[in-house]
Amino acid sequence: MAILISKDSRVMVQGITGKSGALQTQMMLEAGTNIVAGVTPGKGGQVVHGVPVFHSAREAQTATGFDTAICFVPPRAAKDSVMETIDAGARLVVLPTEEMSVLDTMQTVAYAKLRGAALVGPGCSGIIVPGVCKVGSHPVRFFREGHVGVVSKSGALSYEVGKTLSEAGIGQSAVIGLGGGPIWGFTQRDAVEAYQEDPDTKVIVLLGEIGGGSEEEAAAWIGQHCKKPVVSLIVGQHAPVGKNLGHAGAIIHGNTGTAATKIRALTDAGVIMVNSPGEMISVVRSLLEQ
Amino acid sequence: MVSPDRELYISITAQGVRAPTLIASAMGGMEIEAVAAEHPEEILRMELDPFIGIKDYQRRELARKLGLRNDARFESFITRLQKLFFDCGAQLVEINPLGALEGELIAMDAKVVLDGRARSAHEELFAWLEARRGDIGFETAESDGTTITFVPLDGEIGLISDGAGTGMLTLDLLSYGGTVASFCELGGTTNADVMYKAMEYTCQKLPKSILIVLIGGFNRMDDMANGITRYLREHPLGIPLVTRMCGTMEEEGLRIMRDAGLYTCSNLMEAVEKAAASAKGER
Repeated sequence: MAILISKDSRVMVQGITGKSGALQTQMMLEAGTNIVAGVTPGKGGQVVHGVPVFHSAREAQTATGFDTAICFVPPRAAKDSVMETIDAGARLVVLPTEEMSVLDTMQTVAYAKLRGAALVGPGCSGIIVPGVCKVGSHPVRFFREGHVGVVSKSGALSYEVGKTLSEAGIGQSAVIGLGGGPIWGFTQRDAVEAYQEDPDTKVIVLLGEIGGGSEEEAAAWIGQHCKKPVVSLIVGQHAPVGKNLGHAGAIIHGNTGTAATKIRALTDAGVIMVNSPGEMISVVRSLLEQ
Repeated sequence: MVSPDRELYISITAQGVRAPTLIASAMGGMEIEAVAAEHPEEILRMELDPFIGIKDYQRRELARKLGLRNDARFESFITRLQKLFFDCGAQLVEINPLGALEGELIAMDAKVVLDGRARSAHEELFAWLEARRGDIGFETAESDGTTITFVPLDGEIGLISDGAGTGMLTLDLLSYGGTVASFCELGGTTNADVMYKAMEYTCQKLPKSILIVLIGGFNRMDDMANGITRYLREHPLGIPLVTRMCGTMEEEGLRIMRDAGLYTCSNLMEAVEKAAASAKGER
């Protein structure tokens, strides 16, 4: 999945001296990620798990030439942190922060787009390339190397499906957690397009949820452009209307954002729909054998 | 009592959209959803730049759609409307009807929805509103101080999960063979106390069985087990409990559960089937 992250990515961690930042840095290093710098204003000169810390993203860029970043910062600081990181040269930013205000999220996503940087999140688990590296919080234990590209809004659902695939001997080229919404910097459509370009991916797995229109948007792209087989599972099919089920984006309003509309759009685009992780195994296995 | 020449509709929303969106119609004074359904050509929707707000050419088009003059008074009104939206971190600012009378614009009824997540940036405003709660109909959503989502439903199996996606998946899987009494998702902050609270909410509904599904990477299984066992020690309800536990500190968590005599398994489908069977009184 070198088009997003690889062993050659030079990764900077914003908020590296905080509790989350330090712990996640250690986990990412253990997973093989090439972390070249950390940033916490006022803590320049420190070293965290062997990674040099700088006062600002600009200083970190001058010293280390990072191109990728992940920001472990609280909601009120997140927009500024992302803008600083992009201004300093990051081409891909992963933002795990949850509970950002809606307007801050809109501005942060718009800023990244304007500057031509990819922003994954907010509120996301990030990207893992099993056996290679990760920029995010996916626990490595659930994943193994292979050729299935997984995209999910929910981190936990991607762990569940990853675990199920891995236990069945089916590995993953990459797993991307986009965040719970309702606004996404990197969408399912963006992820499917990336997997279409990625030489390591043979089959794409799209894990969708009720709420919003991102699966429909992905379906439109798939129908027109996607050459690789896509298998999809939509969760929340039995969710009640009008109730938010734990993700800000997972809510049905009237007729929009229902599982039925998503399933219809995906099916029309040639996507194979499944109803459980178990069903997914047999479908994916047969597609890989072709 | 003012009687306007015309009643218009105008709002700026951040709900269900990717960017702040201005919605306007010359058919005000009625439900905008009804207008959208029956006269979609009467609705103007414009995406606003989230930094810049409305641009001059957009305001020109807006004035024309509403049959108003794009003069200094209109510009001032639009400026103040969007200032309210952007400066207060609103999710919705809606004026319906917006009365037009001899070139004057009068807000005859309005609704403002503030973004609770932006509260810390607007404490003074929230405090000001709270002090006038009775006068102006200010409502806030209830919060228990945790990140727990709890949704009561009509069925028999109480469901607790540590991820919205796995929660919804399990909700679907349970619904094929049973019915769900409540959906509870722990949210971003997980520890023994949060699990205890989740058990509390779930048991209040007295379900026929409870299914707990845990997989979160940074959620510690020993914390989860401690929360579960402490709750059951203090409230021995005798409701069958099935727990699928995997992840960080898994061995320790499973040991705590086993020592308390509680049923655990590692396969999701197995857990779903067991919980459904238990709800029916089967072993």
